[in-house]
Amino acid sequence: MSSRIAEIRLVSSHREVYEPCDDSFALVDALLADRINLIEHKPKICMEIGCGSGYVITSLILLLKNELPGVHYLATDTNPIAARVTQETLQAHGVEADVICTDIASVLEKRLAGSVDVMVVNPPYVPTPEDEVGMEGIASAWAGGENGRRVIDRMLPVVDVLLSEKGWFYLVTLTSNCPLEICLVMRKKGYASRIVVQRSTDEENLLILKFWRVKDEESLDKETSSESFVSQFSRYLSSFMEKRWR
Amino acid sequence: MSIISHHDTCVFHLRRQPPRHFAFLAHLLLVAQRERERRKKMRLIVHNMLSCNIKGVVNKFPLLIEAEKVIEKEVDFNPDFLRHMFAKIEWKALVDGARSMGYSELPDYAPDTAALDSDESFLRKFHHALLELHLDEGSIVCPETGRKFSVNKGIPNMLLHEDEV
Repeated sequence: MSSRIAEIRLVSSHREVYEPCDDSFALVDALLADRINLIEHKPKICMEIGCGSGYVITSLILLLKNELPGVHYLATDTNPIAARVTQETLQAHGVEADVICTDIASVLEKRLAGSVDVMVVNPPYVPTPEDEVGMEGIASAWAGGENGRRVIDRMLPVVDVLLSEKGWFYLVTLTSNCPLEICLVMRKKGYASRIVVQRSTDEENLLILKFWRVKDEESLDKETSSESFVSQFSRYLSSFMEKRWR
Repeated sequence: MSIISHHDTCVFHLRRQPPRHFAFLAHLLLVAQRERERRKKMRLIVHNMLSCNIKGVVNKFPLLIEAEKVIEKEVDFNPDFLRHMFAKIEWKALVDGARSMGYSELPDYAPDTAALDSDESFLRKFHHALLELHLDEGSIVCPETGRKFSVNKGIPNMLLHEDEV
């Protein structure tokens, strides 16, 4: 039986491309945890922005391909070497996606608007000096500027444009990215959200968020009242602080 | 005498074998390499989604295709997927794209959606143009400015220069 997610030994690499690490694994874990829902969701177009090594998009394809044969997969990266490495990783696993080298998804916004059913993003989220943002090569994989939000904040409106009515969006964030604020930004655009996976490593505290469109204001309030937001995050924060003090 | 000759044939045999094996292995590697190359191509489904993003450009879509080499690769036929994509495809862009890649079997005008259920030969042509034609080498060109974007190893490089953003 073919493996359900990408195999590390088959993931291609290059010194200018970010290798799969805790954040990538956490994102794939979130997709695995949501696999049954994803299959029932029956997406037709799935996409990853910032595909890097290709580990995540390859895993997503492997997760769904047996149950859902007719799905179109797209991946973009601003680093041409990463785009190539992603192609190699896909080929090593015998799966296919169309890879495009572009800034975020700017060349797709016009024609692909409202079409993407599943979007996965592991953005450059590391807080860095502003001038590191937008550099070429591997720095583009992590440099996130102030609070690590520079690129994330540019991505959110693009994701909003691309997602279909039933679109789902998975996003990797750090606690230092102020995820609550990201949820509120998305809420203003009409999205509910929840934490799918949380993980604390020595270096960082990762949260994988999932967003989905809610049709009317009323049910949005029901699904993500600001109270539930606060309680969700305060629970997370208190457990995190507890670990710190221990 | 007979022993010596036997020995001789053995040596001959051993001498002959390695190069043959190498040739066979090299052939296998070449086939694998070709197979890998075959997979890395830009398809018309992607071409139909791309528009030129140079600042100030109004006429962004569709990009023109300058094909240097086109190949075909079989993809599983999935009518359900095709019906879903049909609604999203800009027909003329697909027809012109397919023509510039040497395939001119598509009708000039998009048929009624009913044809998707009744006309399998149409669906097969649509399938072929959308998913099985691959741009091997070439470029895609902005219809307004003529700026060329290279398609390298099947990946369109749509990055802009600083003065185009």
